[in-house]
Amino acid sequence: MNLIELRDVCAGYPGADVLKNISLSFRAGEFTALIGPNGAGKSTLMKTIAGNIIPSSGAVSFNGTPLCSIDAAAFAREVSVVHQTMENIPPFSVTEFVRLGRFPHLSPFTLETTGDTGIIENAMERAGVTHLRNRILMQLSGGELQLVCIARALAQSDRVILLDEPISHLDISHSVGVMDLLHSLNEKGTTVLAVLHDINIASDYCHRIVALKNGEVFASGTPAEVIDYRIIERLFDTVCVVFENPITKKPYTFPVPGYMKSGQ
Amino acid sequence: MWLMGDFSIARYAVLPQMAAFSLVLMGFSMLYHRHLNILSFGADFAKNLGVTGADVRTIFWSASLLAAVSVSLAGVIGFVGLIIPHICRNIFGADHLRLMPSAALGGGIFLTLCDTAGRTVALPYEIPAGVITGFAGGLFFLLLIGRNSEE
Repeated sequence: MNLIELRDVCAGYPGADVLKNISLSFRAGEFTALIGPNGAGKSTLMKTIAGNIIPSSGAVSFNGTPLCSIDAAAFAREVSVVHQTMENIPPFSVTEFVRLGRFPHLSPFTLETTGDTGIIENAMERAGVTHLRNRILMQLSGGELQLVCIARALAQSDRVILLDEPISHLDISHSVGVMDLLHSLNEKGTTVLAVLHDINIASDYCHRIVALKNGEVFASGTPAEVIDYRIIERLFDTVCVVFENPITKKPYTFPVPGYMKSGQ
Repeated sequence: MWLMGDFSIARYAVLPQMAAFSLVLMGFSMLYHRHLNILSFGADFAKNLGVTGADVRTIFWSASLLAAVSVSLAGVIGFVGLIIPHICRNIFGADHLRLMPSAALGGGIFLTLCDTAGRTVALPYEIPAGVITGFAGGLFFLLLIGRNSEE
């Protein structure tokens, strides 16, 4: 059975649907990338799956149950989300922040057990942020903050993780660090869905790529199927060349600069 | 009579009711310290962790009742709720488990100081505590603005 299923979903902001009749499904254990040009609706799609945006028509279901009839805490125990930015970052320490991930597992009348503490420690270890535990969030670098956010998500649930552009403002070493972490989580069973801007990173790491354009699914399939110059060129309206990455044997693409096209 | 609240009604006779209401409501609010921690990161973040609209309404009810109990006894005394949590957050951190009791005690200490000042600075006249807190609040915000524009 599909873990997440969208049927004819239209969604967006009041008065303006960004997504138009999206039907998609995601299986448990998949590592999927959402790619597409700016404004294509990638973040909107992710927020719709995460429950932050309610579809204006159509339905999203999780494990066969419609999202609107799942208890908020029960859903949060399964699916954790890392947004591109947080609205506000109060002066919490890294440990205090990661502990917030246990919230859906606790009631107002219960205290954290040693089991919770173990999960929190384990999440920080897996994300490699144990040495940052007493640092204040605002004092972290972008790469450190992203790893801490993933640790927080792991403390909440390591079954399904949704990420909106987790590496878009990181340098290549931190990008690879974050992607390697997601890859190792995925190998141990975590379902990962990430909005990515870097097509080549998506190609190297993901089982499946879903390309969105103008709020519709433009292409969907394995990296080899989607990263074809005929698809990528029409997706981004840019002349592109596709090669094979000599190390990963996955397709890799780069755009052709305008001055090469005119000055033949 | 804005900002003119004072402690003229304070008698040992009202202490038991006042204390009972405040302690019960404070205790109840403390149960929601995790919700408040999560809400301080924004609405999307809170939604994804399973904080519901019903939780938020409960928190508002509890906070409103606490404010109502205080106002019914002392009248309108402004700025305390703006200054004290802000200072406490800088001293004790943003975790509401520590922030809520420290802000409650800090507010009490601050008001006692303001009331004492109001009763002594202009003898033989008495300045209501609300005027003193308003004055302190104004200064505090000017200080904050000054500090923010430096950065």
